[in-house]
Amino acid sequence: MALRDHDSFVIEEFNGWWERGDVESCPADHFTTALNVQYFHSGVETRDPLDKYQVGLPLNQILRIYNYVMQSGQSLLVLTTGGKIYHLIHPSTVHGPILTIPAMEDFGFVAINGRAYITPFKSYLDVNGRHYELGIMNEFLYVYKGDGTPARKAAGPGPTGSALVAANSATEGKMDFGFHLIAVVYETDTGYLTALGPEIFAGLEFTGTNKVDVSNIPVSPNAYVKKRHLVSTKWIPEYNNNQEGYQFFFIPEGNINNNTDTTKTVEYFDADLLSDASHLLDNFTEIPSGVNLTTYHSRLVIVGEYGTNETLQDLPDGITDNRSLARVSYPGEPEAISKVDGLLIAPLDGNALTNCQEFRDILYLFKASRTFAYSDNNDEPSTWQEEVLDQGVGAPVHGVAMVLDSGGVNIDFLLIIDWSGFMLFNGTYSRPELSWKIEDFWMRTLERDEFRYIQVVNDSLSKKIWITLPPPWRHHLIHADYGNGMDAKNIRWARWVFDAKISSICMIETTKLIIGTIE
Amino acid sequence: MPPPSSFVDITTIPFSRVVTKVEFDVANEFWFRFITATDVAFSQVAFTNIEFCNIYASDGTTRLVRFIVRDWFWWKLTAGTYYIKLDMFPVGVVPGDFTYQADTRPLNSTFEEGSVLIPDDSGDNYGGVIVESDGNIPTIATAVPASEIGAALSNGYVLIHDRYGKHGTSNALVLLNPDLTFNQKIIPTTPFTGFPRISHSNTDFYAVNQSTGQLWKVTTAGVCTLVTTIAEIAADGVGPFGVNSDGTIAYFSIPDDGIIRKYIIATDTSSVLYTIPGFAPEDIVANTYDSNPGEIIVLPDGSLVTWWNDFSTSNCALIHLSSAGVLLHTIPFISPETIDHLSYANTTLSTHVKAWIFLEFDASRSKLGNLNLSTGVFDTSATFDNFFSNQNAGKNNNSFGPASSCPMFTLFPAGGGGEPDPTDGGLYYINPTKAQRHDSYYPDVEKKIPNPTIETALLGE
Repeated sequence: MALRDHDSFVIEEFNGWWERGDVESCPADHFTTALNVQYFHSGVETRDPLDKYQVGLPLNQILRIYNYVMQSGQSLLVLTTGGKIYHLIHPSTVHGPILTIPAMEDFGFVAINGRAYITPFKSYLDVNGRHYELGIMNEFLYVYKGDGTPARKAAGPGPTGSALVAANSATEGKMDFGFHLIAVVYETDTGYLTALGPEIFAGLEFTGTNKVDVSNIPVSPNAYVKKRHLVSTKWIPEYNNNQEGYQFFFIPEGNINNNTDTTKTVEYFDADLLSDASHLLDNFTEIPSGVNLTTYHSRLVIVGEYGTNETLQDLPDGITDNRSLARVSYPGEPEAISKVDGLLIAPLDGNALTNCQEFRDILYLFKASRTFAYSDNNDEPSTWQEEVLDQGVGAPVHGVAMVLDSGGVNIDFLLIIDWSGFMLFNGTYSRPELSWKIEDFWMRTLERDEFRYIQVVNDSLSKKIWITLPPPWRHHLIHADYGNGMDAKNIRWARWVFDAKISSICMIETTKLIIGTIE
Repeated sequence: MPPPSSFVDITTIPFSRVVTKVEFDVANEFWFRFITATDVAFSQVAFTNIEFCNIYASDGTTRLVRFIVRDWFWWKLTAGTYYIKLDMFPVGVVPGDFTYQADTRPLNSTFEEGSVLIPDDSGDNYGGVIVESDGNIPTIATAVPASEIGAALSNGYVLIHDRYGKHGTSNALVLLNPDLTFNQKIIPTTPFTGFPRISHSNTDFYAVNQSTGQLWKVTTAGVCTLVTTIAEIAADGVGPFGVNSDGTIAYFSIPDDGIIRKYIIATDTSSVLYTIPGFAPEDIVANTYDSNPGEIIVLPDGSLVTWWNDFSTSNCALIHLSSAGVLLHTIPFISPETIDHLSYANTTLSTHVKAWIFLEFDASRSKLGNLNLSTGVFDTSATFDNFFSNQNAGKNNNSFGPASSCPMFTLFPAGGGGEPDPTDGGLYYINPTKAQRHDSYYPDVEKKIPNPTIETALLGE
């Protein structure tokens, strides 16, 4: 319809929400309001509807959800108020709670080999009244096997009890002679090898012609211990009574594939001792909790630790927590983290580490407005070189995009939430930021102190993004369609509103967007 | 004997301390001290190498209790100082080091909506244990008498049989407040002489005398009135018993015949609602592991749930009947699994019941959760170790477990327990293929997608 003295105007493309500058600066093919709509090709339509996910008694008061990919399929881990984590195998099947920590306000998660590693964290207030997030003091990393049995603390204590006993056997055997120490290592149902024990190792002068009978082998009171291993030093010419001052190795054929036997006869030469076990002495038996987890070169990385009574000892004056510390496990052993050198220390600028992500063979650690890069040099993590990548851009605790139903790396970029906008990261931060068209909304209405509420999910198949928002926008999601291109010009924005307060989002079954609400 | 000269203070809870053989063997005993400023349930355990624990009063001489420390064993302690001696029988050295652990639970503390109450069943009237949905036990309610039967209203009040006279009279009924504090003792004009059967409507409790067939109504104000006398019960006794939501219909079975009866209270009319197929005289309707009465749960939609035990196979089956007597669902439990008790999952929900299932022949392990009547699957559940005797002790790494007997009923201390309120949130998903283009919220709320709008600067809306 053309009104008198007005020319008709054809909008060929609908290019989404624009909230930048005054209203009249909005291009003709953009919207000053785009509410509850989504885009298709060149068109726009009402967004898809919300549906109930659960069958039967639903979980409610949702605080956080993650897609937990088990070896048998996808499922959800759901944190509800009261610090209870449930495992949804299926919309009608719920396990748990598999973990209850009343102080837990949020949690970080990563799945490794089908097992879920869970770190409880909470928000703290600093002296200026601003929030920051850290692992809960004196809380730990947990491991959940996905089978409905309760999660337990990752790692585990080593053998305890009365002294291990070794004696030269009456049976002849091929052995070296001389003094050796023998100890025991537990292996848990998640493959973790504990520290050596018991408190007093066995020491014996080998005859060189007899096997060795080991007895009084400790039995773990924990059902999750499935195997035990005997470890030994090589010949010690002059023993100095410091039993932990020697290098230990796994004894070939020294495995005990149960948690019941208390004796074992072994036969080995020193030359057979190849697999080093000494590093187990330095590992955490309980790993302090942090705010985020990721994997890097088959290692588990945990950042944002408050600390425990153990790790908070002997801190410098004025330092009350380990907020700039990242812990890194041994490759392929996610629960084996050395207290001595399995760590990275980001610059001590008073801000807490918030996030971590591997990208193009580099480990990136984030603070709220800082980005650091570390590269594995095949040595201990404490020796890795640090590069301060950006002193002005960082990410909040849920501010690195989850892609489809996996981690944060997508094709060749990361999507990152920053105070200054929604950023594309491909080794450097691309500008203008993807949220350039809605910069006024982002910069003027989103409260920086509440960015912990923001979570972002990227459906790279449908080329769509959803972002949760902080108060007072928690009934809203920001939706973006990048079917026309992943750049500030071609991305198309909209705002979705619901009759429920959204707390968390994730993807499952590749493209199904799950929405958790708290009220 | 004065207090020991040497002891280790239990300073933090939960507490753990390795006692070495060298330490213990000095005197063939080892002492701890525990000081509590409040009344608590206190327990301790050491799984290996040590046998006995003795709790002494503050004088170090008066022994309060002695027990084996293989299981968590909870003991009520008033505020004060206590000494704990660990020793062997006969007195001697220990075979090796051991780890001593101690923990506490508050008495009469708060608990979450939908928790269940499992009373103790011993003459010492220890109290009732509260079990939350995840198996956690937050507190012990000390006013709860030892009992095998009771019921809870959706407003939080509880009526329970006082088997051993904790509140002064054996076989009286005891009314408890929503916080499980004692309200009053109730004795009908014709007192009960054994286990009554107790059920409830939406507003009142009903208790039937298995000897006389007298049906009594008890209000939350404690008023007890005789409603009627059910002749069949007077003649033959009663198995499980339930009352519908408005208190107009009673359902029950009598021993040995496998028939669920429907009894119109106003007209004293009894009829057969449902006859269990394959029921033999030796079978039984809704009997617990230790031969105490089970339940008929009348759901808000008028349907009812109970179970029967088939003694020829040792299996049992939950049956869900419509108010017209049509079998809606049956859920088998194969031996050694057996149903011990049923209760309400929630006060307005007809699709689920809360079920307590024993998993093993010796009833030492059980599962508690919300059972979906349509699928026969637990939507949520927790598994825990039971304790056989009183004191609700736990086994192994479970520091607390309910007794493997006694009734179980769901508590709604906040007077709620209805279906999840949409304001409580939930899990949703975006459904592109949904036929109706509305947003759906729990429980059954349809909302239009709010005001889908586009506006341009040039054209307006």
